[in-house]
Amino acid sequence: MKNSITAILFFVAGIACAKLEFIPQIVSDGNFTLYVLCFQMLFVGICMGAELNRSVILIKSLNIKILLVPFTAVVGTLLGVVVFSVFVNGMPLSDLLAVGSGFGYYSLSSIYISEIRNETLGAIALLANISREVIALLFTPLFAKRFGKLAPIAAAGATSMDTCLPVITSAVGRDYAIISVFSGVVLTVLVPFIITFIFSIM
Amino acid sequence: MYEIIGIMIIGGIIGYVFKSKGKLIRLSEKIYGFALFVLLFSLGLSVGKNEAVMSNISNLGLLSLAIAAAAVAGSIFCAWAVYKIFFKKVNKNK
Repeated sequence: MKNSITAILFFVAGIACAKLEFIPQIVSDGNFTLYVLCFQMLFVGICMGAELNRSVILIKSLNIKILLVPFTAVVGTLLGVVVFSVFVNGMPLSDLLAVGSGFGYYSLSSIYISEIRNETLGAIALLANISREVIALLFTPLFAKRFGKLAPIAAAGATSMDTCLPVITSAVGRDYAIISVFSGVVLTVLVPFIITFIFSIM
Repeated sequence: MYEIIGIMIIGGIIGYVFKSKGKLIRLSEKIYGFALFVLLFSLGLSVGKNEAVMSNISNLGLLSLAIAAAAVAGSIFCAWAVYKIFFKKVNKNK
């Protein structure tokens, strides 16, 4: 929660600076964000690579059925967005699907999408994925009660491994903590791949 | 965009090789966080400069919330079905 508030603050600070016409020369250079994104992705990779052994141990300790959980989140998200797209005019399905495929991982998805498409869709991705995190945080107890123990994990998407993990375990029990972390890790890794895939086929 | 994924994979290999260097990994996390804030700030800048977006920001916010709600609803629905079919029985057998 603290991180998403900080993220929004930086985003709003950027908007405010643009409105005040205080635009740092280096940032307004067209390729600047692309370079920073590449730089950032390198370090995202380093953090993931360092965790690889632990992830493999985690996967080995799991039942094959656990693979269904992140898969469920992917299919469910895409399904929900496809249904929703019926009510939206003037926006390609691929854009909506890409925004949904952030799975709550707002930092990466927003920047990534704004580089591939445009800043408008990047802003939508930021807001939509922060909303997803907040919805998951607030409604986890309700989801668990009404729709079973996997519902809050799927709803939280990529955030089920960190931000939402405490609320999820307190709602569905400690024995689901590993499933929750596993699902979050898989979705986090999948985000750039699924977004790239969507834009390359549609 | 494949280049970006390629860079991430290269990072992954570096991280795997140097995984025992705790200091380096923690530093990477910090750099990653810092780069994120720079990027979000610059995303804010380009959104702020864009009149078409700014005049429509409340609609975009609403649209974003709706996309999130749809994504969550779909996920919950599928999770409910999967839980009923694959998980609940196992728990009963225990």
